[in-house]
Amino acid sequence: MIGIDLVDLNVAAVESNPFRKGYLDKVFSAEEQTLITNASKPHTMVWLLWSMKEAVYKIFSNEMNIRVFGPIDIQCSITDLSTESVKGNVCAYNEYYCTQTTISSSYMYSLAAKEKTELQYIKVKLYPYPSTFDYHATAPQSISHHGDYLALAY
Amino acid sequence: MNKEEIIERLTPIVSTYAQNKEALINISESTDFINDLKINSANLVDVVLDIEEEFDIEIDNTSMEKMLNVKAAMEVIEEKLASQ
Repeated sequence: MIGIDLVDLNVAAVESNPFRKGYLDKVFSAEEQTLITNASKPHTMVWLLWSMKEAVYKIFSNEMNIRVFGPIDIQCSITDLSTESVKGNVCAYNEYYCTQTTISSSYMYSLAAKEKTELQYIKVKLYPYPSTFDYHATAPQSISHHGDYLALAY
Repeated sequence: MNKEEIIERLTPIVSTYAQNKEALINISESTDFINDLKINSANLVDVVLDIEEEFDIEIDNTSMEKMLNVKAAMEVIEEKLASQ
């Protein structure tokens, strides 16, 4: 089981203000908020942590067949940080996951899996969104779309 | 505050973030924020914060977890108002 979550950074900048009063406290732990405060690009760090949480949420909500809105119950840590690629560990409801995030100037997407080795076999395809082709027929393991982008993980 | 008043004050909040404006016409207790109104998950946090401000209540994380549809949001609002 794998999970993908894409954030269109241009659209996110318009749709959301994560620095409004109270927002960060609803979503991020004290440790995660420290990462955001200390980041050279705090907005990028917000969406990085957000997409890590969402990618992991897709795995456990599917496996346990539950729907909850509890971003703060999914705890992220970063193990390897560069400008374009980030590796992380995520803990949610006592289960551990690995993530890998690819960052470009206009979007980022996170992949999540239980085992680190699974991540390297995931193939990602990006398309403009809305999309006209029947991507469900290609049987992606996980789907994410936001703003102008559709991301499929195989 | 009765159910009608709550839904009347809740509707403009969710309207701000709903990407499917047509679904707002038939908004009811069974309306799902994500599947029906197409509110993105980052904006669900805004919905919760706006509800806190509008109703002058505090929504804890356990309550927030359930707030994926109108019915659950109304139940949380009623519960928090009653405990004040």
